[in-house]
Amino acid sequence: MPTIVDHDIGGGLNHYSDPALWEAATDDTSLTATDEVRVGHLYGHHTTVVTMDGAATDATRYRVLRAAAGQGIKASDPWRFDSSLGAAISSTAGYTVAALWINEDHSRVEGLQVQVSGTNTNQPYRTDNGNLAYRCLFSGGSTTRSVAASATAAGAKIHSCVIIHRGAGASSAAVTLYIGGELRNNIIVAPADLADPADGIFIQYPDGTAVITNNVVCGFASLGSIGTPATCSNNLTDAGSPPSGFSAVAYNTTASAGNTGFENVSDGTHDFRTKAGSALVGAGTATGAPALDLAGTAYASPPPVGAHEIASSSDPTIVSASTTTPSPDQRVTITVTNAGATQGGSTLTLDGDALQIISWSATSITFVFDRADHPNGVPLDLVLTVGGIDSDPFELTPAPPAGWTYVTVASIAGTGGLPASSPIEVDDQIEAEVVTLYDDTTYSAGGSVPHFRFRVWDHDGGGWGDIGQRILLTTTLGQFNQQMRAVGWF
Amino acid sequence: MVAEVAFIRRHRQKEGEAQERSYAPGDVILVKGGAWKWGSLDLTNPNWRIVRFTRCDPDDLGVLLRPEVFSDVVGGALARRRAYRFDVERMPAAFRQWWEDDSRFTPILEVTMARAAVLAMLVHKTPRQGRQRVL
Repeated sequence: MPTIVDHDIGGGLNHYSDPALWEAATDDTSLTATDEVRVGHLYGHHTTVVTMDGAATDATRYRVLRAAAGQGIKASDPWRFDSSLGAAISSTAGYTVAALWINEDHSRVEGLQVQVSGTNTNQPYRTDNGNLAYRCLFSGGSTTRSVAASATAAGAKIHSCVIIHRGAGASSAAVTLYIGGELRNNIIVAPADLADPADGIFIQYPDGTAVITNNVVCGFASLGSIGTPATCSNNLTDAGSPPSGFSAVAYNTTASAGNTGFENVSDGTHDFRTKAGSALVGAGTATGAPALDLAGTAYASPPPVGAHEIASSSDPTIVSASTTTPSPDQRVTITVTNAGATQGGSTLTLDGDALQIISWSATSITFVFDRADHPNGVPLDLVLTVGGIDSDPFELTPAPPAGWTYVTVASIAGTGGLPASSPIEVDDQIEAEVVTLYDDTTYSAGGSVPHFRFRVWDHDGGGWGDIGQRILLTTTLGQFNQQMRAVGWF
Repeated sequence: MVAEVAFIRRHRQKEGEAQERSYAPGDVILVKGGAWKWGSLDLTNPNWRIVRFTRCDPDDLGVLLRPEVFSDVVGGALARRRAYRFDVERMPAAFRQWWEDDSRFTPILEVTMARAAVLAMLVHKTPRQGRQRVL
């Protein structure tokens, strides 16, 4: 098994502040020598284009850029690009090719939102190898470029994605595949009130190897050009004269047979979640279907056409919480449905890790929020699992307890006669207290910075301990809303 | 008006096309404004350097992020990761001494040079041969 090397990107306490930096750090020819998969977990919104290229990869050694836990689009969110909802990359740059451009093979992206706004010639997603885009939302407004494209290599795969073409009257297809490839369980649309872009899907050199299943393609002048795919079934479209493997559906918000039943199909307020009762529900084939929909919900069998599995009314649900901003070790009570009278084999997890349960009933669960090592302000997903069925994630955002200021360890420098500094984990929770103000003449760009004293939570010892290291602190002073850095002994 | 720039000090050696499409010394990974929260590994990577230019705006240095693209491939193809580089050799001796320090004892160096002097350090690389180049 390859070693998984995880890094956090963005969001405050992190290893790398931007995906471009993670990419540069992991652009490593030694991937094939060390048998590693490098995984970047993305937090927040980033506006620098990301190009993944140069790493020597193979089927078991590659790079993955994915939304960090709690950072993907949820079933409760509108399904359109919204950088406030989690991990997102956007660009207005017209000087490059794509906001997210992957050239090396075997890489994958998962759970990301990617947008190019405006009508420039940049495109949101471009892959020039047989890479997989899974559970992503791509949105673009170019009138000449596809929203998602593979232009120079065969075999690109797009699974459980929402691809929104906002280029009014565009000459380009929403999705372009170079040769072959897989389109499974995607929502490929142009807002209904825009002039139709030319095509939904365009395969540049169809060779009979493509797989096109469980997709809904609506809002285009033509379905496009797909040749004769190896497999083409259970697709729906509103385009005239659909090819074999596609059936007709009316493109609207009506939740009944024969209609797509999207939440909203207008450009300004589009939301491509599927309503219950839509023709898309349960209309797919389970053969080859991906495991999860855009929001991370497991597909039923048969799955829907498109990328939205609507939760059953008997599925467990987290309705509300006594607080959505808990502090470490705080007890939190959540209101739930369909949890069962006793816990039994059911679980309540926070980003996949089981929580300490204080009490459990069919409608209420109390647990201990034990995530002292997680950065404040970065949300976590709470999931209730009953009988193997997961609830939709419920977001909790860690916050410091009242009366303390928290700061972020951004770097540790232990050279120049200072003690080695390896014992401190950068993700550690730092408890800090402002003591006085003084002019930081050693480092800061100018002005006064607070003098902190602080302590670090020792995960191994389970208590607060001194550091005795020289470190660099970075924090945002809420009162002044400006960033502060300081270096010193603490 | 502050721009913080993450530079490549050195990059892992590659061969052929992979080398051309990867980073080279003096290339820029990221350009941000002065309040950017760098990550822990951003500030300690011995192969990178971060400089705060106090008299430049991020837009001034955005050209350093541009790739070189072959336009004769459908949709364009990546010719070179960065079309421009920063000529470190023309910086003052103190800067170059800091540049050589892999310990990154001073993780971010503040440079107060005039904007025009900084922009004079930007070098447009010689385009790769054989194909049309667009920026």
